[in-house]
Order: sequence, then C-alpha cells, then structure tokens
Amino acid sequence: MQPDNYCLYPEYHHKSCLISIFRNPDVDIAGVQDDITVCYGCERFKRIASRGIGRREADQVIGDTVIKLMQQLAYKNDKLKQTAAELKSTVEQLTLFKSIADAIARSPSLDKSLRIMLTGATSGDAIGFNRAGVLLVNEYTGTLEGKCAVGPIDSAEAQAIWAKVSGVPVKQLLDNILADNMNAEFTLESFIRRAKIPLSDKNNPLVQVLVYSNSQTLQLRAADFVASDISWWPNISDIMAVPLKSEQRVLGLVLADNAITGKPFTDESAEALKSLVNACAPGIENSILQQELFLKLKELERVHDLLRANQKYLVHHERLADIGMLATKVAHEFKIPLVTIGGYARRLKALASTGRIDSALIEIIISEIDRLLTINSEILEYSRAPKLSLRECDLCELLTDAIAQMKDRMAGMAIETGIEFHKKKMMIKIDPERMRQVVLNLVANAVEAMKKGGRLTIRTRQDNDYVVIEIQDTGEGIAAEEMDNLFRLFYTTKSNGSGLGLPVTKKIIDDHGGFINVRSKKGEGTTFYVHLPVAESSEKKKKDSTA
Amino acid sequence: MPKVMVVEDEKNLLKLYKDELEDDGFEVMPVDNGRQVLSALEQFRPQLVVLDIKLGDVEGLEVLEQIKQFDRGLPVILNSAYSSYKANFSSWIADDYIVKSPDLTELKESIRRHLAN
Repeated sequence: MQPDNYCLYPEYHHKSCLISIFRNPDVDIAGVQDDITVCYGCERFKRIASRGIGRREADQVIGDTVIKLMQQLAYKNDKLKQTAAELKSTVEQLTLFKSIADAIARSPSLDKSLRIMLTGATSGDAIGFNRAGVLLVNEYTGTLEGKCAVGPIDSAEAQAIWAKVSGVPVKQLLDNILADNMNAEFTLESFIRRAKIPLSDKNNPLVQVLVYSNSQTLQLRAADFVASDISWWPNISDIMAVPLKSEQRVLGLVLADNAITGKPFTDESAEALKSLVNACAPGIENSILQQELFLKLKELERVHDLLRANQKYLVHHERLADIGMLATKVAHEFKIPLVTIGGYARRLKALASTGRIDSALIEIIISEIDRLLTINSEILEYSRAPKLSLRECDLCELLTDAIAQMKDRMAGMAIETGIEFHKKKMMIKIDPERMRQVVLNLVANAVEAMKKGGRLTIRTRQDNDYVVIEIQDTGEGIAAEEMDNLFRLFYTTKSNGSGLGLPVTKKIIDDHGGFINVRSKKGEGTTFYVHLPVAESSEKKKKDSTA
Repeated sequence: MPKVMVVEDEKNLLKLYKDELEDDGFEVMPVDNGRQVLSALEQFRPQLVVLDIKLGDVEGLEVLEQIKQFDRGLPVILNSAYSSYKANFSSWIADDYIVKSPDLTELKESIRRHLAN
C-alpha cells in the first residue's frame, strides 16, 4: 500500500494528517473498502507533533478527523445495510424464481406452466409488471403463436383484477393455478391467442428479438410496431421482450409491460424478467415436450382407431363379397344333388305308374338330400351373424376335451399326439362350442394330412395381448400355390371336401377378434396358429389383483 | 342296340343316366373316372359319348381330345352343370352341349339325333 499516493483527504496535508482515509488499491468497489490509517509519513503531522504550541492545533485536527471518520463510518454502515437489503432481496427473488420453476415442474400441462411463469412476472411480490404474455414457436406452421397472458387489458379491468389478487402471496397464486383454481381466463389471453406471426416476417420486431437478441431483454416501443399487426396486445405502450430459450431450442418469447400504471422500466426489472424466464425455460420445454408427446400419442390412438375401424370395415366388406360369391357357389354346389334328386323323382313317378318302385332309388334321393343339408348347414354357419355366447373358459381344458374327441378318429392311425401347454393356466373369454369346432376342424385337417402317420403337436403360449394355439402336423404339407386359397370359400383339394371347413374356422376366429395364420412346407408338415385376444375382463382382473 | 358311353364322376347321377338310357333301349357303358375313358373306348367301342365337364376342368378337356383322337367321327355330347359357358364349349370340337337337368328329355333327344346322323 502506498498511503501518500492514495490519501483521500489531501486537504489535511496542509493542516495536519494524523488519521486519514486511504483507498485500498487491491479492491475496486467505491466507498466500501476504504482503509483508515494514520498518516505517519505526512510531513505536516511530523511538524505539528514536534512543537509544543502545535498541540491545540493538533487536537483540533484530530477532532475534525474523528468527526470525519464517524461520518465515514455512518456512511459505510448505510452502504452495508443497503447491500445487505439488496442481497436479501436478490436471495428472496432467486428463492421465489426457484419456487416458480418448481411449480412449473409439477404442472400437469403446458397452459398451466405458462400461466405460472407469467404470474411470476406480474405478481406484486415478484417482479410486478402490469401484464405479461407468452408466444411460442410452432415449428410445424413456422409461426410465433400467442398462447397465454396474465393481466388486464385496460385500467377498468385492472381495478377488478388487482382488487382480487392484491395481498395474495405469489405462492398462493401458484398453488391456485396448480389446483385448477385458475379463475376465469384473462381477456388479454383471448387477445394474445389471435397472434400468429410468421417467423419468415423478419421485419416484425418480435421475430427480430427472437432471432437477434441472444437471450437479452429488449425494450420495444409502440412505434416499432407501425408496420406490424399488434392488435392482439391492446393498449400497447413500451414493452419488454425476452426470448424463451432452452439449451436446445428457441421456444418462444415473453412480453411484459406497465401499460396500466405507466411505471418506467428499470434495469432491475429487466434483469429480473430475464432471470425468471431463464429459470422457467427448462420446465416450459418439458411441458412443451410433454404436450407434443401427448398429441403424438393422441394421433397414434386416432390412427389406431382408424385402422381398427377400417379393419372391421374390410372384414365386413370381405364377408359381403364372400356372400356374393357364396350365392353363386351355393347355386353350383346345390345343382348336382338337385339334378340327381329331380331325375330320380321323375324316374320314380314314371315307375309308380307301372307299379314298380325301387327302394334303392329312394335311398339315393335321401343321401343326396343329406348332402344338401350338410352343405346348407355349413353355409349357414359361415354366413350367420357373429353372435357368440362368450364365457370365461380354461383353454387347456377345452383343448384336452377336443383332442379326446378326436381320439376315435385317429384310432388305428400311426399318429403320435404331443401336448405342450403354457405353464400358466390360461383363462380366456370365448364361445366354447364354436372354439371347439375350430380346434376339431384344424385337428381333423392335421389328421387327414397324416394318412401315413406322423406327429400331432398342440401348443399354447402367450404372445403379448394374444393367446396362441398352435396345431402342428408332420403330414404332407400344403403346396405354395395352394396357400393363398386356403381360406377361400369352396376351395378344396380333397375329393370329399366341401371347401367350407377352413373358411368357417377363420370366420369363428375373426368373430372372436382374433386371427389365424399358417406355415407349411410340402412334404414336411403344416402348423396353424390361432391368435385369440386375451379377454378384457380377465386382463382387468389381473390388473386389479396386482394393484 | 345303340351303344352309349357315359362319363360322370357323380355316381348317383351316373346310375340315373344308366337306368334311364337303358330303359330307353340303349346299351350303356358307365365310366366314373376320366382316366378309364380310353380303355373303356377300346373295350366297349361306343357309338356316342356323353361326357361330364366342369368349368376349367383340364382333365375333362383332355378326355374330350383323347376321345376325338381315338375316333374323330365319334359324337361327343358335353354334359355340364354350368349353362353360362355353353357358348364357349359349343365352338369346340364337341358335337353338342347339354346343361344338366333332372329332366333328361333334352339329353335323350340329342343322343338320338346324333346317332341318327
């Protein structure tokens, strides 16, 4: 330290300079870090102290200096108090901003997050702007869109609004917002929601703030908007604008003004608005992402519903087309038995006149009629409305029963049967009679394919929301060119087949909301996979029991 | 007795044709399978063939050709359940096309007509 060079009271140099105040050159904050020291090196002091009569003068100088010193102390004390108050208010503000950011983190929706941030900007015990609004970037439309605003549109509304909230602590206001107690929407908000500013409009002052301000708060004047539509912000005066930015993206823009009271902006309020917006940005971004996710989910749900509806329509349509074809096919299928019956009936009539009746002819008529009835009942089964008597069934029990029922048919055939059931009991909501028919049809096909013997395996397993029944044979397999026609009505490669077995099987499975597919290799065997949806009720029960 | 061969895989219908034609004084050779047609022709030497044919039935058309190759002059009456394809079949090498009916009058008339030629 070089006291002579830094003596703050050089006027004492020509009197005396017992004690003086020096500035500490290492610290550079005015008025706070001044050092007080005795000016031992001062010539005047040495001179006064060496003379006897100089003592009174010296006492006077010391008295003056002490007064000066006391004044200095008082000044420093004030300064310290002021600094402490400033620090306290900064800490309070930061604490408040943190609680605002926390409230945003807890907010369930973007709207509430924005409302919370703006309440921070307008509340008297926070920053205290008259009004604040937020516009968000819509990346899809390339616009800056007004989303939320807090505050009155004019002084008449201000009286009403401020009367309601005056004295309510900001935390209470935030809790009200979170608790859905948001009061009525501000008229100002219905105004700002009209704002749709194309981001391509580079002349718009707000777009400029967004592009050029680099997170700084900018003050805009009403005159700046001469060329731009600002009707969505009534009673425009000077506005403060600060971009709302996260680390990754520009989210939008926050506006604030004092249009009602006309209170001028201060550096502190600008700084506070910037701090508030920066503190809120991560939470707002989360809310935006959440909302985007929610919308995407909604969209996904909609597409899913659409697909389901379309699938239903397609199935229905396919069925109608099938029924059209069915009519033609039925006519053809019925023709031969009808020709035969008709022919024999005519013959019987002719024979009756001669008194000769051959009972063998009647047998033929009866057998042809039986044939017609079989075709008839299969057609009825195929075209009947999907009315199911659903009930909760143990799938393994149903399969075991069905296999037992087929045992007679397999008697004398070199067919081994293997059962591989899912380890857990599978309860499923089905029409047991119809599902038994499905299993019997598929097992009958498998047996038919293994005339020379083989292995029949029946498996069950769970595949997400479906229970899968696999019926596998090691029979002759299905030729690739036949695979496409398998479920087509009246398509058959068997000499005695009606071509209705698999279509009926498929229809019953369709009616249950399931589906069937097949894998086969000529000479190696075939596996049918029946997928049935896990019954809602049993699924629900499962959830309930785990809850 | 005029000899008529009837090819028809529906056995009950085949029996009806046989009974009816025999009552009308024909000697009938019933064949229920296309593969046996050639040997039956050799053995039986019919004067006319009634041939069942189904739509898109390659086997039936092959049998028709085999018969015509065996004897170009042998009349063949196609007998089918399908009437809508009569035009297609008529232009072929068959001599007539009769749609199946419980009333065999038309078939019998056609047989008599072709035998008379």
